[in-house]
Amino acid sequence: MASRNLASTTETIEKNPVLRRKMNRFGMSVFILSQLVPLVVLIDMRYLFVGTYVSPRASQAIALIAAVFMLASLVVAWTVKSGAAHGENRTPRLKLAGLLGVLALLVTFYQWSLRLSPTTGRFGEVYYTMTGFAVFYAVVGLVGLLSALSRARFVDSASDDHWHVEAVSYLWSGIAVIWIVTYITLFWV
Amino acid sequence: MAQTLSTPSSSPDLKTHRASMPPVLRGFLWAAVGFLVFNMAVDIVDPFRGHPFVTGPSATLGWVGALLGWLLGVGAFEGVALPLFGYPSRWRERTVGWRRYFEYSTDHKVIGLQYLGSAMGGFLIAGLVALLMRWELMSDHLTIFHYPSNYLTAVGIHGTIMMFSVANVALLGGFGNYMVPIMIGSRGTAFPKLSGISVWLVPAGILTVLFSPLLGAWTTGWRGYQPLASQDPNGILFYYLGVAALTTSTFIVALNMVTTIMFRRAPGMTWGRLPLFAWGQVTVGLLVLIWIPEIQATFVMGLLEKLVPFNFFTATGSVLSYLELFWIFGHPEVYMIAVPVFALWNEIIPVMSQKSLFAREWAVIGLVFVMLLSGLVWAHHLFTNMRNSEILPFAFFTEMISIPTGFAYMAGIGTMWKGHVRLTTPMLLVLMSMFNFLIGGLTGVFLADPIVNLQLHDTFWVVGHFHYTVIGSIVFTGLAAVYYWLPKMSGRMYSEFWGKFLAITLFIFFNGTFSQFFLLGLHGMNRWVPAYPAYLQPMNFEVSIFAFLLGFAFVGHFVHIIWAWRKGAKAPDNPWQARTPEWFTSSPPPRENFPVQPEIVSSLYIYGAEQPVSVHMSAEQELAAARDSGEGGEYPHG
Amino acid sequence: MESIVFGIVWIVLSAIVEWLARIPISHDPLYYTASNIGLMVEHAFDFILVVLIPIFVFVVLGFVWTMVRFRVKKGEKPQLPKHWARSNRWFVGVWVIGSVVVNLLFVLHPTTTATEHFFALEQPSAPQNRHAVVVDVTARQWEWIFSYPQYHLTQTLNANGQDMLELPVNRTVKLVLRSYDPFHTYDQYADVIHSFWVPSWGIKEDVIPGETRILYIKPTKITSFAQNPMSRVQCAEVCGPGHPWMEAPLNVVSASAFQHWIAQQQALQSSSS
Repeated sequence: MASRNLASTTETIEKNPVLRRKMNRFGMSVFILSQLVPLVVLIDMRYLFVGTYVSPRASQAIALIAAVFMLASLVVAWTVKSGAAHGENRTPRLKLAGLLGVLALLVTFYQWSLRLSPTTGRFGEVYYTMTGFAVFYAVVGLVGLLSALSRARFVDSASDDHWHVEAVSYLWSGIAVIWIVTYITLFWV
Repeated sequence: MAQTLSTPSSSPDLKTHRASMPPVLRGFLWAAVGFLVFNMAVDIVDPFRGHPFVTGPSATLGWVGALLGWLLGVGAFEGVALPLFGYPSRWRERTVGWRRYFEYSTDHKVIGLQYLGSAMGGFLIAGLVALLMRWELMSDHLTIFHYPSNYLTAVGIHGTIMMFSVANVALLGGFGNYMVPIMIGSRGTAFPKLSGISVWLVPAGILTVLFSPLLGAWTTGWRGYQPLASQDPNGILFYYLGVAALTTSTFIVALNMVTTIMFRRAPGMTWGRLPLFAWGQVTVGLLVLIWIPEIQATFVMGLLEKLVPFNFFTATGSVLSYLELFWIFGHPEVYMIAVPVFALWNEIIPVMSQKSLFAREWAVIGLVFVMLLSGLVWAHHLFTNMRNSEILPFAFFTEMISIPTGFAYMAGIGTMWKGHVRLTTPMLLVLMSMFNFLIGGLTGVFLADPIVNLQLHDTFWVVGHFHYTVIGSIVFTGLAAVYYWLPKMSGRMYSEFWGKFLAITLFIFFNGTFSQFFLLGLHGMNRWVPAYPAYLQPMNFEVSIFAFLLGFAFVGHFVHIIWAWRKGAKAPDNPWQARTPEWFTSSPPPRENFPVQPEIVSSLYIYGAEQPVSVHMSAEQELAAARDSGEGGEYPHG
Repeated sequence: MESIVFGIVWIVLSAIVEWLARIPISHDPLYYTASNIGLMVEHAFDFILVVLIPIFVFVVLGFVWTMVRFRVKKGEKPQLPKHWARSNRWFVGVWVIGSVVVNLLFVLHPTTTATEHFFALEQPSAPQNRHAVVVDVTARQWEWIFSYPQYHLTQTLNANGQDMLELPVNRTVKLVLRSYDPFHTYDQYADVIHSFWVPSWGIKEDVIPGETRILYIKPTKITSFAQNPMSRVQCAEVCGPGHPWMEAPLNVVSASAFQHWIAQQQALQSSSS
């Protein structure tokens, strides 16, 4: 009986916070991984329709600036994520991550406004679709970052063992990776 | 995010929050406001001033606003949004009364019933649309539909609602949410808040598709083939958007179910003991997590193709790419529907036969291999587009998938053989479902053969085939599950006489309707036609009569179920002498499913005179109490 | 013992059903078959039907047997045995191996044999295909347009002005299938997927915008739409509101009647131009 009781304390999430955290991380990881599927579809379409062609009217520099912002944001968000995983509260850094994300969005909006290739062109279609997906994810991720920043004003991050902060920065990291992969497939290979 | 906040704040000093109006009503109001705001925002930035108030792009973004308003309005505002941003929320979850079914909730049993109710609503709506179609097909020319595009819109609405809000929802969102946590001895699901929101996507999606004709007729049917879809009027936009809402809901269900089964199994609930229905949910979950994002991306491209417009899938792009992208989701979709059904057969049969499940490992292998093979068969929907040896591997895998499917039959027949079979309503419906799916499967063998497929493809043979597989599986087994678990969910028993009478009626009219589809197909009746050559009219007339009777049989079942739910005789906790954990708690189960954390101590599918009880309530005080009263090992009734 | 009785009943019942199945098989389960490919479809269909009947009978008999023999009466509470059999090596083995064998059989025949035969018929270099009657089939929303380039006919019509397809019997036809709209005012490539289907021929082929597809087939019966309405060209893939009426009569006639018809169409075309 004793061993059975021991087992039950370690095997249910109610009594085992480590298991609960594992469960939450698993859910978030599966979600982020599943969002690679649309990315694969888009990359597939990119090579199907235009091969490796890059329109000369598409400014590589502008896209690169946006991607670099996103890369920097990824680095910041990842430090917050690993900090939260080890019980450190680095929530204020999310402001920087979010700011870099907003800059990446603004740069992309500027590039959109140039109508660098007419939407009737194949590359233009692929470009707007792929960047549109990345922008949509980034907007969702920014709402997540905002929620963590807003929450930090009212609720002690330790109350949920920093899981909220970890979750949003993890999600944002995944979104940044999707953005960077989008950039690489659109402009490099 | 913030899943740790799953238990609502229940500090006693906070007064129970009462919304100023019923949440569903507020949802509609906020949806209307959301639509107007987003629609207007698009109108304001529209450089062209001559457009009408509602255009394709403005309706699309307006719909996004409406969806946000709807979800927040039904209770996600207080329940999720405010806590997510750290604001204090006075929201408290109702634990009793019918009102909790009409607002945001985190109780997986409430959510499960919300899913079931939505699926039932979708089924009635889409079924009514089907009867309109059958009414039209009673004659060989247009009668009740004035234009063929109206008829084709009805076909699309029927198919879309049935597939995405009934077939994908009833067993996954409905019984998955309600039963799986209890069956694995858990006291809740992994992501109750997310799940509480996702269920409200279903009514939103159904209404979007149902009211799509407001933006114009669309003629593609549920598959939305390009380039026809982007030629259609704007109604097709609401098809894409409604499907987006419904598939997102299914996706969240899968995420929640897979995580729950991975992490919230009771002590002693090993993978070797896991109930078959939970196995079905895991395998289907993997299909959903891979292929639903795929079709969502494809449908976004379809939406852009229509809205911008782009030319991905026109003559200058690649028409076939859309078909491939659709069916690479579309065939796994069929198994998202069928796999939980196979699992349920072998859930109910051992209980009703009071006999150990036969060849359990083969039943599980069957589920897993169906799942694996389902990703390799999609091109059999495209044999009419293939003219070389590419056909053969797809024909091969398509024929092979019948082998693991057959394992479900093998386990079922093996279990019943020489058992003590009680022919209750659920058992009868399971047998009928297996019969119908057998017809669906065997007619599928003809379709899997390429040369025969070239004749039968796109005829009523195919329509008959997939109605036998889908209705035969999900609807018959779904009804069986409703009757089987009705005593658990409501604490009341249905009438065995009426249950059986209605089941037999349903079976006769179902077969009367759809068996003739095969003959119509062989005789040259093609799909998507409100008007057809006159020689096919007599049989179509007959089919329609059976279809109307079938509709009455369904209504009869629903009336009976609702009657039993409210007025049926009181049911004991375990009326079927079953061994799975959901029967070891009170009917209906308490808020946290079990009085204390249960523990699984013996196999769930092995019956026998000396077999120990499978579920223990293992908390120390329970054991102490049991010892004191001298009945150690007896489980408590909640 | 139970199993042996079951086996005997199964064999007897299967034999009876197979015998009954001879009726539809001898009357053509496809209702009406009038081409060389249609005959292949019919043979494949019959073969699958014959093999599937014992399987169908086995499963259904299993259900009925259960309901009759193993049924527990209401209120009766039979004692559970100590242990139930949880597997049976023979039953599982025969089932698994049997289903693999039946499926491999189907993969070999009719799937592979008939499909390879079909591919061979569709080879452009095959001797019978070299002197085929060529018909350009254009699918537009919503009309089938038939032209005969060998006879300089751009669009063949019947007496009512409807498009119609007329072919000589027992001679291979080369159908060139395209989907575009020659009458569209500004964008003749703006068309959708159609599907070329002749119910009595046992074959259909999707017609995809931007692609040209070729189908070789040999009509084997003199027939007409008036004689059997399955002799028609029908669009089988939904293509918009006009889809139900996207059909055209198909007449198959003798070689001399075909020549006569060609001359008539040529006269019609020159008089109208």
